[in-house]
Parts: sequence; structure tokens; C-alpha cells
Amino acid sequence: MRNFSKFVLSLAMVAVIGLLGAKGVFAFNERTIICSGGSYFDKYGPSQYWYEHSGYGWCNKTSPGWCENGQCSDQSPYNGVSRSMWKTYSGCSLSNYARWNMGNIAQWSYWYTFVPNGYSTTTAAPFSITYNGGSTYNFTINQNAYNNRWISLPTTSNYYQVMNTWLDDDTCESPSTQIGFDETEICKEANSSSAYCPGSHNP
Amino acid sequence: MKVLNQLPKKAVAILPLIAVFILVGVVASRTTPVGAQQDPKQTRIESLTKKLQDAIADVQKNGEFTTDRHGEKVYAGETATRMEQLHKEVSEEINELQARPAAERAVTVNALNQWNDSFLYKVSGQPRQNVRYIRQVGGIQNFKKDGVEVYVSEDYAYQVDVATNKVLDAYIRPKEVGEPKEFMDMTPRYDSAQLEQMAKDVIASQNLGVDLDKLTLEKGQKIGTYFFTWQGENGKSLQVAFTQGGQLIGYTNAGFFDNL
Repeated sequence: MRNFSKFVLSLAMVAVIGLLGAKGVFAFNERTIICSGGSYFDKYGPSQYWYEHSGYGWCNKTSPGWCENGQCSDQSPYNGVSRSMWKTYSGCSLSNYARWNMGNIAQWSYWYTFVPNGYSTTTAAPFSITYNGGSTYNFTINQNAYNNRWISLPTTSNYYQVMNTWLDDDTCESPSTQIGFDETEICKEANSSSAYCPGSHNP
Repeated sequence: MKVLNQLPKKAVAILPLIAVFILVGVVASRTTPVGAQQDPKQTRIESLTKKLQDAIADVQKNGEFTTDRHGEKVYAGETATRMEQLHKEVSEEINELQARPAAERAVTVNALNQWNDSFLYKVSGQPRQNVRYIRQVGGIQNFKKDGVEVYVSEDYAYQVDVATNKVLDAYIRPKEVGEPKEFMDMTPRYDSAQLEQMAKDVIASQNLGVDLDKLTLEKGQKIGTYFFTWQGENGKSLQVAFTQGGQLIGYTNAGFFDNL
């Protein structure tokens, strides 16, 4: 009897874990913040033009904030410094750019990015998101107009199967103009609205 | 299994039952009850989403692709046009299905026009803003709030509490490629102290019943833009942003919802 009980218990636990995993508890969730210090964030271009700043951005504001897989924690192994953001400077041709891997989840999502209170002065940060199996949506964000807040897309609503977010440096502004790279987020559309979004990962 | 052996026999015997109950509960929560009628709107949303999914699956096999400047494989040519159009149609229909009736949204648009008249157009040459509905949203900057809708105009995005038609958030919105650049009066006209007083006036006009003297003020500045953020308990905040020319470019009520 005891062995049978153990067998049933093990089977049930495996099933429950499998169901939770299928829903994305251990990977991307309904509200997924992709941290600019983590393994879902890739920087491209000459390393000497990338600058990391401690004590800025979403991770610093919420102190410590929440990002996928804990990459926003105070002493994240993914960051050279804690609670950081990245920046590069404006140019007239593509040199440095970054990608946030948004998960390519088969769901309708709202999109957000966090603009820190420093090191982000471009008036036309060139973002693009890929979605829908291969469509591209291009837009610009005036980072100079925001201070520590989440920003959504220009006019559109929800996007299906968001794949990647890209941010480039070829804004062709003054060479001292800074382009800030911080967190991005997608929130699953649920019952007409995404509760606790943007920002929070509660409940 | 050593842990199991250390537990009382009765407890061990109950564990499988608990596990089965959890399993049944999880499965039941994901299953529509037999005989239950599904919401026709939800049925339509699922049908539309299936239509899009089928199209995506088809073009992955038969569509035209290219590699973009980042090295990502994306749609090209007629495939790109067709898939973008289909996504737009489906997204817009779903959005409309989930929205309040247009007549109710029109009341909110009127409230936003009045808000714009009160707080925008203070600087010379700022274009009139034509407001339109975008979608519903579930929170304001990390604070859950039911019954909030997003509206946009040419240069701004707004979030409004539809129960009171009070503006909770207004900010310069991002731009699609090809749209005119947003109007920003960057004339060096006001200093930080003057703009701080203007920010206090904006908040006072919202009638939130908040005593700013009991909050902590954080000042921020970028290039010709000024930000005044009053921090309260539990992360609540009120933020007002101006250009140095005196144009309001941001107002955010994050969490002060008690006296709307």
C-alpha cells in the first residue's frame, strides 16, 4: 500500500508540475519583464561604445525589481554592476544595437518599455518589434520626455506572438545624445485588460 | 523518500489524496464545464485568433521571407503586406469586441477634450489634439486599477478612469515611422522653480485630496525637460513633466486613487 501511495503521489506531482510548466510559470509568464541585464537581452556592436550604469532603471526604481528569472535582483550575476541600465551614443549609421527576446509566445500581448531618469536623451529612439510570425512594427520614442516610467506603443493596441524588440543607435542626432537601454515588458491580454501591468509582477 | 519514511503513516496515506485533489482542481480550472455556454464575444475572439494562427502557419511554409538589418528572418513582399493587414484587421475587431459602447467612450473623449483645454495649449503654436479610443488597460505604472481606458491624440497618450472620467496619466506618446514629430516647445522660458510651482498647480487642479507637503519631492531633468515626482507611501507617486518652454508633457497619478 505504501509503495502504491508513493507511486501515485509521484505521478500526481509530475502531472501538476507539467501543467504549471505548460502555462509558463517557469519561463515566460502572462506578464513578462525582460531585463537588460539578463540572458534574454543581447547587445551588438563594438563593446567600447557600450556603457553600463548602476542604480538606474526599473530594477533600481523598485529596488530590487522583478525581471524574468531574477535577473533584476540586486546582485545579478548577469550584470557587471547592480540595478543597471545600458547606454550608447547616437550615430548616423547602425553600429550598436540590442535585442530583447520577447519569447515568441502564441498570445495577444501589450508591449511596454521602461525609460530611466538618466542616460536617455534621444528624442527619437528607433525601436522595432517583430511579431505575427515575421511582421515588423517600427516606431520612435522620445526618451528625453520621460523620467522613470513605462511607455507603451504609439497608437496601436495588442500584438500577436511578439518575437523580439530591437533598439538601434542610428538616430543621427548630436554625438553626445544618449540612447538608453532598460527593461521591456509584454503583458498578456486577459479579460479585456492586463491586470497589474505595466510593471508589477503581482500577484 | 527518506522524508516520507519519517512522516506518520496516516500522513503518508493522505498525501496521494491531496495530490489528486490538486490535480483535479487544476484540470477543472482549465476546462469549460459541460453544457456551459461560451460568451459569443469570446467565441468570436477565438475564431479570429485561429484565423490568424492558420495564416501564420501557412506563410511559414509558403510565404516570402527576407533577412532584416538585424539579421532576423522577417516577411517580405506581398507576404509582409498581407500578414500586416490581416493582423491589423483581427486586432482591431478583437479590440472593438472588448470595448465599451462607442456612446460611452464619447463621454470620456469629451472629458479629455476639457482636460486638454485646461492644461494644454498654454504655449504658442501647440496644435489642437483630436482624441480617440485605443484600448482598456489594467494598471497605471505598477498600480492595479480596474476600469481604465487608453486614448491617444496626435501627440499625447492618456489613461482615464472611466467611472469618474478623471485623467490618471497623460504623456507625450511615441510615434510610428512616417508620423509628424510631436510638438515640443523648448524655448528657454522658465526655470526649475517656476516649473515646480506650475506642477503643483496641475496637481491641485486634479482635486485628489493629496497634501504634497506630506510627500517627498524628487526633481529630475534631461535636456530642456523637467520632471517633478512626489513620492508617497508604498511606491505611490504623482509626477508632472514640463518642457522648459512651459508645455505640459506629462502627468501621472500612480496609486492615489482614493479620492477620484
